[in-house]
This record gives sequence, C-alpha cells and structure tokens, in this order.
Amino acid sequence: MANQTPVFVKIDEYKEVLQVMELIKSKLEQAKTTLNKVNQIKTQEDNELAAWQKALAEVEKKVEFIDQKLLQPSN
Amino acid sequence: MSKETQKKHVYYAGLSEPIEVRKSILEASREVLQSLQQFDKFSAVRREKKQAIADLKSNVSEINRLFSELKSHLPNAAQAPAVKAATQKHELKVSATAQMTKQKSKKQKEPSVKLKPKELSELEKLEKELGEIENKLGGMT
Repeated sequence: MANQTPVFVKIDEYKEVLQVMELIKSKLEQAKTTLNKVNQIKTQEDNELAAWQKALAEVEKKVEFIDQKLLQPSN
Repeated sequence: MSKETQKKHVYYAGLSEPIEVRKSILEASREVLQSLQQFDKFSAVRREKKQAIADLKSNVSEINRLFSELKSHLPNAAQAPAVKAATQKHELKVSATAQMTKQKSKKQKEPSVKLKPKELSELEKLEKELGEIENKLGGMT
C-alpha cells in the first residue's frame, strides 16, 4: 500500500457516514430477502415446468394409444 | 354413378377397444385443459418473479447510490502516486482511442446532419464506473 496515513472526517460528516452505513446494511438485508424470494419463485417455476412436462408426456402416451388403435383396425 | 350406388360402397374401419379409445380421447382432452390451466399459473409465477427481480435491481441500485453518498461524505484525500499514474494511464488510453476514432471519422464522409452525442446506456455507465474503480484498485496494489 502506498499511502497509509490516517484520514480525518468532520464529526457531523462522520455521523452521516454512520447513518449511510446503517442504510447500506438495511438495504443489503432487503436485497438478500428479495434474492431468497427470487430463488423460491424459481423453484416454484421449475416445479410448474416439471408438472407441465409430465402432463404433456401423459397426453403423448394417450395420443400414441389412440393412433395405434386407429392404425390397426379390427377385422 | 348415382348417389344411391355411392352410398352402397361406403366402407367402415372397425376399431378394437372403442371404449378405451373414447376414454383416452377424453382423458387427453382433460390433460390438455389442465395444461392450459397450468399455463395461467405459470404465467402468474413468472410475473411474480419479474417483479421480485425488479425489486432486487432497485435494491442494488439504491446500495450503489448509497456507496456514492458514502464516498461523498469522506474527505477528498490526495490520490496516491500509483493511483494517479493508473488514472493518467487510463485517461491517456481513452484520449488515444478518442483521437483514433476522430481520425477514422474524418476519413469517412462527414454526414450532412450533425448527430447528437450518444447518451451512455445504463450498462455503459456501469462499465465506465467499474473501469474507474478497477483503475483505482490497480493503483493501490
């Protein structure tokens, strides 16, 4: 490090610095909560997609069965 | 051929397990309708996610603003020589690039209508800010 001499901050500025730091910490907490929420929604979204995929696979099975019956007429 | 003769020659294909076929058609229809219901649910989840991401972006922007405010409250100490050198190097680089761009643009035909200087996009602003911080950090090590 080139310059390690201490820096002096005016006392009223210092108070504001502390206030801003508090705000930053609270905003950071909020951001963490929102990120958790995004993660939860993402999991929910993945579950919805998986259910959708399952439903479509079921439909596909049924269509295959119908198709098979239509292509193999009884005598 | 008369209509009556045509009627006589109608052929039918027999379906084995007709009840099963009907049942399958109905079940498939039900599944498709349920999928459409799921689509609505999925869209709602997506909207919720979009909102949450917008909130997150606003939170992070606010944190960025607060950091700027924090910097403004701290005294403007003289830059260390290494930091100065790095900043000057960056400035030289920028001015050299600007000159090259100027020369290039001179070579090209000047458009008849003067274009307004392009405003920096959000991403470009962030890149610029990041570059400045990287330079300062580079000067500190």
